[in-house]
Amino acid sequence: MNVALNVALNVALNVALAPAPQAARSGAHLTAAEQLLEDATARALRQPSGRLALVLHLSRLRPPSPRPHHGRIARALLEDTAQRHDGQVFPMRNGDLVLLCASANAAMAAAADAPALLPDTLAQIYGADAPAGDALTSLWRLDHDSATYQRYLADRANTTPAAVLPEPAQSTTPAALQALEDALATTAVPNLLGVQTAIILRGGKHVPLTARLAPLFRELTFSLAALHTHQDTAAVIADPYLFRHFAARLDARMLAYLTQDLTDGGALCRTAGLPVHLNLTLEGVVSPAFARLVRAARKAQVKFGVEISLMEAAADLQLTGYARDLLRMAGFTLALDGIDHAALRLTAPAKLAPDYVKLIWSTHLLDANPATTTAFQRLRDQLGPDRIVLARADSEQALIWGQSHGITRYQGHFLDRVLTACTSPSRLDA
Amino acid sequence: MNKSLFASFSSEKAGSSLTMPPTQALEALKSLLRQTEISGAARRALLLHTDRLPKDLTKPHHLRLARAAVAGLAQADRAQMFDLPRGRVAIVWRARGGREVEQVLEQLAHLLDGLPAGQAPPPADLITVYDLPAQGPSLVDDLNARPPSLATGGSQKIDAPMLARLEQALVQAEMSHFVRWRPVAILPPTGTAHTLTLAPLATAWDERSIAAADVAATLCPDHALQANPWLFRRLTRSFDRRLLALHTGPHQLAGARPFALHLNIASILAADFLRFDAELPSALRGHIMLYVQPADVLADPAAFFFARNFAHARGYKILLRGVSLGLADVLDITACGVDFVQVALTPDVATNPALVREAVGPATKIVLSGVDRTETLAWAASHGFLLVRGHAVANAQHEDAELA
Repeated sequence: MNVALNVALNVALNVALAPAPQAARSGAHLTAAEQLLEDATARALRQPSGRLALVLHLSRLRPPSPRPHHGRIARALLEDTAQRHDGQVFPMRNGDLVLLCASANAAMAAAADAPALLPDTLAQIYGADAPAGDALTSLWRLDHDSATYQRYLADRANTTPAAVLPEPAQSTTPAALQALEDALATTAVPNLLGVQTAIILRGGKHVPLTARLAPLFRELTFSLAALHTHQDTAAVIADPYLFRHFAARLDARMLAYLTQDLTDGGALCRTAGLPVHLNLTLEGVVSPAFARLVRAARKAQVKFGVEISLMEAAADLQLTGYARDLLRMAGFTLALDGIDHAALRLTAPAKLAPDYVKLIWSTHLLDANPATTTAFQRLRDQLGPDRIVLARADSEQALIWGQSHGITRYQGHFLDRVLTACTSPSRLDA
Repeated sequence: MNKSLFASFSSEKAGSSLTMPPTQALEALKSLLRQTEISGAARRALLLHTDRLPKDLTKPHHLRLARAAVAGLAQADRAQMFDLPRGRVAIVWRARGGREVEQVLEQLAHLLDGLPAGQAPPPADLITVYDLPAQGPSLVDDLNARPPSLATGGSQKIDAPMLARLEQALVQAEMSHFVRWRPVAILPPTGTAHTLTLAPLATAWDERSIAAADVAATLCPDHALQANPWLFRRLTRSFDRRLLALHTGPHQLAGARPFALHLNIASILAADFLRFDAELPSALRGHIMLYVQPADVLADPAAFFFARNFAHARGYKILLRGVSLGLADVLDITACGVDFVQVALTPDVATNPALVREAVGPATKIVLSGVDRTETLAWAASHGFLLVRGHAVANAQHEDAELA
């Protein structure tokens, strides 16, 4: 599981925990910063000559953006310009930032740090996270374009507050981490696991969706809910390194539990031939506990697959190769997880010879971005479409994109529910 | 193949009758372990940790003696001997209840006899014995473990609460004496062994990083920080904060020449870096490198792209550390869009230097690390590796290069 996924999983929690938006003042639906902007705008419009308003539309960045660093960097860049051009920066409730400043004379307007040049810089930095076609910035000269600017301001009242994503904690307390360690050590293993089914979606547009679905494998996922023992748990888990540490801590307990279940003829033995996928660290795969699971799985004739995060696989290629060989000998499949659009552009996961690559769906894949398109085509050519699983495919848009690109394997909560409803497979009560 | 270059890889194996290079031997050993696991054949394995020898016993003849101490095992039934990277030696044999291990310990005790009292480790600390196939995974773990120079100090792994305590301690700790500088030299393309040995090397920039081993020895001497790699990676963010603070402000950087900071991606996007950036003297802007690691890039590729674009917009150069030919097969270096990559001088690089250029793309500059022998400087220059680091660079005289 990668950071983006972690972040997304925590959005709901964070929104629930986030303080309510700042109360509107004097009956208007404006935050304090928006009210200050109104006042500053009114003053600027009295002498609009040479004054500029620049909006950085962070709200237009595609999910899971904007993330905290998007706002932090933007604020620093705009504040820097504001300091040198008699300006001020105002955060909007939807995450946008407005810079109101002066570019009073020709010399200032032509300077290398002129506010009018900011859109180019911002496009260079934020362009990859912005949807194609939507303007990332708006720049208005108040002596010419004040009406458009004021319409933008008026629309602010109708926007929804931005969900602030949790930021990986820069530091945390021993008590908070001890609570997590304790939760991992003492919580019953089934409570730490969730189940999600990957499916094969066959063609035939005239056949109902329910008749085109067949299960591919069932994945045991690391459920984060049981670990929400402390108020900053979400931020701790959003940290990829702490997350991997805690995932590694779960390995041994999970492997022991599953081995016992197989030995006892438990739920795992009633999977009707459907492979069970486990999320493991590389250390977990080379551990004695895993060897015990392999022996129990052979005896019970239950098929397994193991999912390894791309980050971990690339961090130790030698160990990855060894783990892959162990999996092959055990008859387990290997799935590489955590490959989002950005990782797809950076890597050639097929070179690690996995049985499956789990590509995380996001609207970024819709882009005509040549780098993303080329990377996907390379993956499909090297691996074959039947070994790509489009994960987090929870929208019709995802399925349409997948089918148009030859993908037949999918995973997502929505499809899992549909499959459960239409086939009622024996549930894995792990 | 350049023999003098390869001497740096083969000197530790002097006296052995090697039939394969160490990396190949490592793979062969792992393959044997897999076979024993499949067949269930009972074997014993012994790993000689030459990297645990006391400093006074690390000369080539000491290593030969240590190897000789275990070599007797090669006569045992079905014995196979493997000369591994970092001078380690492994032997796998079929045990018949003999005194093989005791004899090895006696030989090692003899080797250690000459050391002053208190400086000699117990002979048993220099070897680990494994019963196969059951303990095969432990042997693999040990084979994959990082060298002790990185796996610092003690032997205990840190856990998450201890990580938090260390993070809290690092907020206040005096860190300036933990900062280490390593020069990166730029070689003249026409440099010969003679000129490169005699003339001062031109310093392209200094790498500045926190010495994790020394921090560990001070704050938690009983623990091996890197034995838990994920928590260690997390801890390096605290190092980053302190490193940035030590370089923030005009007084901190008065008269500074170009330098590089080892940072996490998250640190480049954090408030501490913004403070550093805000106070960076204008003369240095455009001459600062930010070193990042592949695992960190892949931990959050979207954040990496954003950090790279931000850093470039502010005039920083990005260097990707730890690039190997194997990694370049999986990670598209060109797509990373970094300015430099750091490639270690390993046997495969020495054998196929042209492959490195092919792997990283024409636009990316290469810093060759692990240049420990003066003779290697000329080899590097002749193969177009003009940016180099390593002991040969650190020990040479330096002069400042012209700012690019």
